[in-house]
Amino acid sequence: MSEPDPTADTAHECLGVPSDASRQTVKLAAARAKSRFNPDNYPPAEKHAARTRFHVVRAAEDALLADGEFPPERITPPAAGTLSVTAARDRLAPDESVTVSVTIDDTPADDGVVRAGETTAEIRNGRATLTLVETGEQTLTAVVGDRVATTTVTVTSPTGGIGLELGRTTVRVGEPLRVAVRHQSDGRLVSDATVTAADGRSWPATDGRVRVRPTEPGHLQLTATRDRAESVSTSDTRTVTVTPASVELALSAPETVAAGEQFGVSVRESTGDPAGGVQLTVRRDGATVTESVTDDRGQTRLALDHPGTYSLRASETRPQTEVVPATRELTVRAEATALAVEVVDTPTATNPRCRLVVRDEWGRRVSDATVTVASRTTTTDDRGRATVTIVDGGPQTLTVTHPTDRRTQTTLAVGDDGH
Amino acid sequence: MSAIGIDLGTTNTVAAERVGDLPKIVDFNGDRTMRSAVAFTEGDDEVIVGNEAVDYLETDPQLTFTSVKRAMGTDEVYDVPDDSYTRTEHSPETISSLLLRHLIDTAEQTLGSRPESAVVTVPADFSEPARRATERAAEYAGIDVLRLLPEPSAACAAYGLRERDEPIETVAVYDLGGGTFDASVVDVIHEADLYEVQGTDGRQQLGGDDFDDRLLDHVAEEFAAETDVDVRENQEERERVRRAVKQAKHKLSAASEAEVRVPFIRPETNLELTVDRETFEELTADLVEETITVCRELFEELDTAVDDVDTVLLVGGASKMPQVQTAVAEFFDQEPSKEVNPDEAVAMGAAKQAEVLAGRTGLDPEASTEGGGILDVAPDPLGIRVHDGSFSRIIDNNETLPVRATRDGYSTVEDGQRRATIEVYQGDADRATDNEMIESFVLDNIRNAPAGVPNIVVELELDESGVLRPRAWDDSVGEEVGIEDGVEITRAEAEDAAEQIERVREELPAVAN
Repeated sequence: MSEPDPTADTAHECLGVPSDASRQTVKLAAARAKSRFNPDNYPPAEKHAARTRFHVVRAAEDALLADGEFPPERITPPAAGTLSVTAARDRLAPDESVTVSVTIDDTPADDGVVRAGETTAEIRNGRATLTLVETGEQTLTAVVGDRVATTTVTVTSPTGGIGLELGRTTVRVGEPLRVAVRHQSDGRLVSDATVTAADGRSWPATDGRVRVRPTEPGHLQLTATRDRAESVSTSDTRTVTVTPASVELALSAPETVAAGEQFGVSVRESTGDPAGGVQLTVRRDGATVTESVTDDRGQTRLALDHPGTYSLRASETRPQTEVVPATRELTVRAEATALAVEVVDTPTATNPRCRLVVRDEWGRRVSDATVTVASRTTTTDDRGRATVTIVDGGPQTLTVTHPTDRRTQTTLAVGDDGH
Repeated sequence: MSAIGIDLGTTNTVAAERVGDLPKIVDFNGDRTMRSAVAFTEGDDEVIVGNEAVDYLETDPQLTFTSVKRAMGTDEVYDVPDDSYTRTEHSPETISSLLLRHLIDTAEQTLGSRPESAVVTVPADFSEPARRATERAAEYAGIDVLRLLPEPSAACAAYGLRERDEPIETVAVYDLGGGTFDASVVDVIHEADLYEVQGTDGRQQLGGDDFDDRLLDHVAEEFAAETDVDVRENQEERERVRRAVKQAKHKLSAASEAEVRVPFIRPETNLELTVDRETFEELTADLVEETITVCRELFEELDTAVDDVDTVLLVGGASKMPQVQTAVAEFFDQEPSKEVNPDEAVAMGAAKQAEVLAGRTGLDPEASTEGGGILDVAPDPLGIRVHDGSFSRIIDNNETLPVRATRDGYSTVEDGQRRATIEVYQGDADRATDNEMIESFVLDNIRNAPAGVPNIVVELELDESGVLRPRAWDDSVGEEVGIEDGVEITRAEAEDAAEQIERVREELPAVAN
């Protein structure tokens, strides 16, 4: 048995087996050849070539074990010969793509890459397409197998006017406005312009596009400029109308609290910024129970003494801004008096650790509860969680107490973990 | 610089690193698996990821996302109606990227160096869009994907190579995870260091979660009969019962009965029930039978007979259930191998492959001819839509990857038609639109000729990672097409992909734990 040869004319030679080889011999030789040309084992630039060889090996295996055709149609085996590379055009503009043809003795190459600086493109069907950004003379290098060929192209910026294109001519304060800068000659995006507002703010439009957020109502004048050493400076100016903003408030508060328990309420604007100075009204059965105003961080604290269902409403009046109020329901429950332990994972012989959650009779998690097992003590965290370890297999008594004189007991034993 | 293997699961995620012969599993605060859950906490631009996030399922069910893998490749939207987040709409891939981020952070702590690249596993019959979504998730998380690896192949790689009398060992992999089921047949050619998948089939929506659902329904109905309270109506109550039911399911793998206990499910009311294994097996018998049907259908499609199978591997947490093991042993008429750990085999195999790939794509050209590796198959047929709406197959399912196939004889339907839109579909149906469209591109240099005259050739290549590269050309133009006419295909793909990835990365919330 010899080495596999994807350029061979017959399937047997391709897999490197004698013409009277058994099915098992063919299978093993094919496995070795596939293993050898597995694209996973090649760096990115060589993967395409590896795939082409792999396909030929597969076709040979198919021809010998099933009813496949060999050599396969339309799959060109790697050829020997002289590599040459030609670009479709030798002068182009930045960001413009150019198609390069790569041939080996006039036959289109079907693997390898074309490189220009950091940019690479795979050769398919004798061609590769590259987009060049940098101006100046650029060398294009075609690499096919161990052969290399080069050609050069010149990248120059086109001259001429530019235009400013606005997504909308009317926009609200704080809303993004899409702005594009294009060549007037052919509508392509300009890659090196700057957009400046009359108030002095400016944005580099590196890919021809920027997003502008107006900060105050009125008219906003925008100017696009382009300053290039090798061409004339050009600019374009347009004006947008900025209308007052609309602000939506969002209210977050717990859904349920205990009677007399202090709880936090926070109000934010739809932008995510905290909303300070917002009036907060608490109603029950249509009557106002209490009122409060949020601080700089958009927060305030409340406590409600009587169980029942309440509604919270956040509202505000602001000049030049329409404020959409927010409302929310809140349930006040009677104070809890009992405790219970919920086991999250059963301790096992291999992992005697037991995570648990302490709850009250409303099912709420209880923090600061003291959990005692085998005279070791731990305290539940802010989500009511604690972890204990069952040392000698149990069963052991677990006691939970809480500063509010609540208490419960349960028994824990090590279970079987099923492994 | 290190490379890891990641088993990004529906329910649990496991990661491992292999250096030489020593595999290391990433440790999540004492656990070897991370729950695939992300919780958005109100009031900050931060999320809680993994095992810690499970608690939030109960308190903030609307803002806690699990099982997103089932939606990979779809346009499912996860709303986060909280304006403290920069991004309030999430996709399966952005949620997955948060899982991966937490995973990478944790890997850095436990392994000592930050992994830069990974082999990520996917179900064997994951569609092309789902695979691309998985790759995007990794890009958002800032980790380079060396390769996507089907889970059964990864499990096989973990099973390893050994000296045997037969040069070709046929391995069947039964992979029942939290959310998906895959059955695969893999030929292991020991002397060539090659794992060649022969065929694969599965159910995207069948897994351990469905067993939980059955038990949950049973417990809820029993409890409702007793108390008139249906815990399934309230999400918080349902999640608490689900957790208790999951524990009972695990206990039933070893014990003949298990207690389901949820204290104070309602004020003054405790849920306390006992479930025996026999009842659990009855409740889930059709699910187990469904997996066996998939196995049977797979063998009907392949040249391999069930008797040819030398080794059976059980993979996935749900395969630990005794009724599953019994059914599998019965179908294959042999005991499954105990050599791999069902929870960790996929991550271990991926880690092994990551080590190999990270080493081989290095600059040393000598290393790149070593050979070996894992060869997968096309999970579903691929083809194009033709004028009458039917599906013209070009690549069959279970073809070894990479595969390149061409089909000609396509033509124009109008006189002088110069352009044609070529839509590539993946699936089994005879009508193209009943399958999933995965790519569309325009051939725009057809020669000017009467309808039906040009001979258009379509070539589809599915590479070793399952990534599609379509091409088409007008064969009758042949050499006459000058390069001035431009490239022959225009892929309808966003050019500013890198920029978009950067934007998504910036908008994602920070991971707080």
